[in-house]
Amino acid sequence: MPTPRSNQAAPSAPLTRKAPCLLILACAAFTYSIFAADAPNHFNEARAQALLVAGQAALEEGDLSLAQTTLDQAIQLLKINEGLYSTEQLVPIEQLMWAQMRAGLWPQLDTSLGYYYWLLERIETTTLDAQLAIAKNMRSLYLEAAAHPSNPMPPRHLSAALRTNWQTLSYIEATLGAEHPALLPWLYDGMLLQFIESRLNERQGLTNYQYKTDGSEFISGWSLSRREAEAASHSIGLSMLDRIESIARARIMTERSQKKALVKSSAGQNTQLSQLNAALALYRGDWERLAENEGKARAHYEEANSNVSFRGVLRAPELLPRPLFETDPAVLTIETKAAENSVTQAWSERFPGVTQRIVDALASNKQVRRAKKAQ
Amino acid sequence: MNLGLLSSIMTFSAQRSRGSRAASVAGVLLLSACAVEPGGYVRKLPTDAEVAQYNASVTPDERIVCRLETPIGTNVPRRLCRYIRDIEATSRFHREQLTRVLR
Repeated sequence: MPTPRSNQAAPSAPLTRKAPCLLILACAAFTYSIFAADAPNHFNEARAQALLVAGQAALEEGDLSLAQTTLDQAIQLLKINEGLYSTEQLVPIEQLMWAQMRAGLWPQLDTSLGYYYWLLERIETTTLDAQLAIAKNMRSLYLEAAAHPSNPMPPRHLSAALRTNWQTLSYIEATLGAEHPALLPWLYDGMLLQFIESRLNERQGLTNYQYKTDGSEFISGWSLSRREAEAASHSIGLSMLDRIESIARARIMTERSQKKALVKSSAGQNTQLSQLNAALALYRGDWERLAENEGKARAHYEEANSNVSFRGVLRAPELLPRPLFETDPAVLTIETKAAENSVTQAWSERFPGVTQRIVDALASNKQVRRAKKAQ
Repeated sequence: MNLGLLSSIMTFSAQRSRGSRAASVAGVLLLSACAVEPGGYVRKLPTDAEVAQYNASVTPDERIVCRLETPIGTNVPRRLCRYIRDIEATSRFHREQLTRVLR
């Protein structure tokens, strides 16, 4: 039987042909041994990490130019080392986008956003928590962009922040269900975003971006009037509170039905329900007060006062909206008093009345952690 | 792994048009909710929050707006929902007619 060609031994090359090959190999080995110690390995994994850390440090220190250069290098290295579709690129791209946004480099930011979303579409494995963290980061990025003094189109970025929050809500509903407690922080954040929207000076442009485009192109023509946009924003805030009520109530009722099998007394659940009702009345009163509907606000506050422990919770307009949704009157009192005693720092000239405290609350994970704990 | 959220955030940078059949169906459902049934019964209209949530998940072409309008022949305003593209088309048509008449 004939031997397969691949298994046959290759015929040995004549000595005259082997010699130059050996010489080249020897030279290569010699050169490597001389220069290996001096020349850095540019494709070293540790180097990419070092660049990433340096880029993050530069970003935190405010050296935006250095941050961009370093993070860009880190992204290129990670592309080479980990692959074109590697998840390792996400963090440096996010940092790069923050640097570009803070530097007011809007075309470059658009390019990075395009690449980031392109990459996200190709990444194969990621968890729900990771996706929510990305959505939260993007929402904060768009918000900061909307407040940036050199931004030529702040309504576009504010509209993108609002849209990101809505899309996240839709996604959680589709994944975990329309009554899942994981929705709570995003619903309350949605209300805060409506408040921020109501304070934007250039609302005419905002409705254009909300309804007619997602892109960066200049648009004009039809849009909602200021009065209509304000009414819609106010109505959305109330709907968010209605949904929070429905989810929180359902959760208490589920707990009650589970415990009833074990214990007859449901005093704890009654307290929870009473606190929830009072807290919702308080938040509805806050929302009406922010919309300057003082009559409706008073009616809601009176309802909240029916629970004695809520009478001490402050309601001054400068402390509103509250950064978090909370039903425990003791926590509410402490947090509102802490806000009263701290210096109120305005967020941006473009959004009069919005404090840094609100924007920080939107960026923090405090509410998400609470929702998880409650689950 | 489902990347629905991440790909839906794409709409911000969407220079491409993503014709979503599901979105169209949802849009038609929302609009049909505005219809007056025989016997004068008016079905529940979507709230502003529902409209905003729906609009965030579709392309600009599919977005709707609900607002109070006062029809001719009455002083009672009614809430109506329309596609933005229809509002734009009607507005364009009226402008063209006006230009034609004035010419």
